Amino acid sequence: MHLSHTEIPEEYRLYIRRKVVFIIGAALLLVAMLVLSLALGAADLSLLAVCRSLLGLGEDDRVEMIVWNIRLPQALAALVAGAGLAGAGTAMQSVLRNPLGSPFTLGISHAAAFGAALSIVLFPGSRPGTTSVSALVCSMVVAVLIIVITRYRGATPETMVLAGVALGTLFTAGTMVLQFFADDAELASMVFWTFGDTARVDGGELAIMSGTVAAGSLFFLANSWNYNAIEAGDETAMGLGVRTGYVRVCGMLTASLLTAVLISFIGIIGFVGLVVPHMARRIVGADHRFLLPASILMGGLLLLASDTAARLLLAPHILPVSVLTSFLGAPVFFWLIIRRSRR
Amino acid sequence: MLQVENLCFAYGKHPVLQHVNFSVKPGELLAVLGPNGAGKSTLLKCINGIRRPQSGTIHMGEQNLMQMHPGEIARTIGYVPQRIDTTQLTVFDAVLLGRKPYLQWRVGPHDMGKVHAALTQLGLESLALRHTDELSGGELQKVAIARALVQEPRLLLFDEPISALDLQAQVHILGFIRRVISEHDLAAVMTMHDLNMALRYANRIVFLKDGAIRYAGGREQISPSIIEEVYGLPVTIHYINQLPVVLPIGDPRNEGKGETDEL
Repeated sequence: MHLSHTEIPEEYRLYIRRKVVFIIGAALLLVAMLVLSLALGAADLSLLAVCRSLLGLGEDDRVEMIVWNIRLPQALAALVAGAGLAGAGTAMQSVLRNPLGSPFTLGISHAAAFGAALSIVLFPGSRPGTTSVSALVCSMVVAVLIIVITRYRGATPETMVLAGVALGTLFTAGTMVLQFFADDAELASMVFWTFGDTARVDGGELAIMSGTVAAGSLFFLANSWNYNAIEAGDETAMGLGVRTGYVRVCGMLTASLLTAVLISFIGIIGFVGLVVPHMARRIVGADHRFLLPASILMGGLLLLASDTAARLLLAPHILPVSVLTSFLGAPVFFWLIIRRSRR
Repeated sequence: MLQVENLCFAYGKHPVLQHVNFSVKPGELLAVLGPNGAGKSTLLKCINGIRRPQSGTIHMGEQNLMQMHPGEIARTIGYVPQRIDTTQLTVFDAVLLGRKPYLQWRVGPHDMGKVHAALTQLGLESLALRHTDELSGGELQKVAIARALVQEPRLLLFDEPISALDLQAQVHILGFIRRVISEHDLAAVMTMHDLNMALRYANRIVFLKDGAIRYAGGREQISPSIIEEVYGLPVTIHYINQLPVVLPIGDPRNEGKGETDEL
């Protein structure tokens, strides 16, 4: 059949324009926050000096050193990790059709913590890279196990969430066993690793993180229409030619890999992957063409702002950024729950 | 036209559809009736490729639907499922999803024009920016129909589209469906429970029981014995304005008495 063409309603154009403006605004805010975060810290730098340095016009060696060697890698690590965690959280919540989808609910963080603890016990005194690799391997094991279980039981959201919860519990128990038998120094290392910290990332790791986040984000964006279709229900999606099981497994695998890489390099950072997608959804709605970019930008912005605040709040002491994100995230989440139950 | 031949489907060892044969011509609405669990919804899912039949063929004109890619099927068949989930997508975006089989990433003015045309046809323009979780059952049904229409299909499948609607909404939706399929020369298959609505709106009727067709034909040939065989309930057929009306025989006060006495 052929429907005759008519013009597009003006109000819909405005509605789309508002979303685009919000996304551009968030991107600009992110750049501004990046510059601000480079200027703030124990050694106070002026915004002008930071901008000059970033544009390659810097002359003061001290400023160059602080901006390029100390603050920029940490700020970029926070930005990239926040963006990646939020993007992966959005994709997980969409493919699982479950507002609780996140690296925590699916056991990926617990497995990474177990992997890190295991490497601390097995390879005492080794390079931090070993801990990251061990954490990465364990979190990928969880992702693969979830996929394998869903291959047998069908890729329904319920199966995936239940499998994730069970695996998370299992790995938490494993970590507790390791902690119980560890000596004081090992125990301290294990606990310290679970504090997410963006300062521990070196240049090579930052490059791996950025590459993974960029590739993962592009994959999610390319699937925007598939996620929109799944949002409208599995039967509707299948009627629109979407292979829901396949999209779900690929989305979960990508989101798991992405979070596993981030968590293994910077440790556990709570709530960004859970709360940011909800906040973005409130602002730009459920259309993934806009939700995903908004969520990715807001995630980067939130973690960068939290990381900067964590450096400044109790200076010269530096708070673990994960503590701050959880302190910010929990009240926001309560608010979301209360608003939802009122409707 | 849709041609289904010798279609068999089973969930594991449990047969659901057994040697089902029927055809639907362009401009024709075929109603599929039968008790719960007769295989009506599964039949629709087999036609649009959601379920894979164990044997049989499904053709749309010359094309073999069972060998087509899911995206290609979605450009041929518009499907309105029984369960329509509400979302935080706006009505406009929910209908725009119907263009998914034609889209890569970018939505052109062409696609949006078609969405607007479908919304106008169904009287949904004023709701375009409302979220679908704020709509009534009838409005939601219209959104799902509009979405199926912007797929620009040649065949429409409706899975119990009026079960949850009030009488006015039922008449409105069925009247609209009839008009659309005759105006655009589409074939349509609709599963439903309401015998009298089926007799009023469908060109032909298929009765399905335990996965097999018990009757296929026009409304004129339907007899009380066919209905009694399918539903296990004695009925009479009266004619009002030359339209058959089916009524169960017996006193409503005594029906179901055996069961309630045991409660």
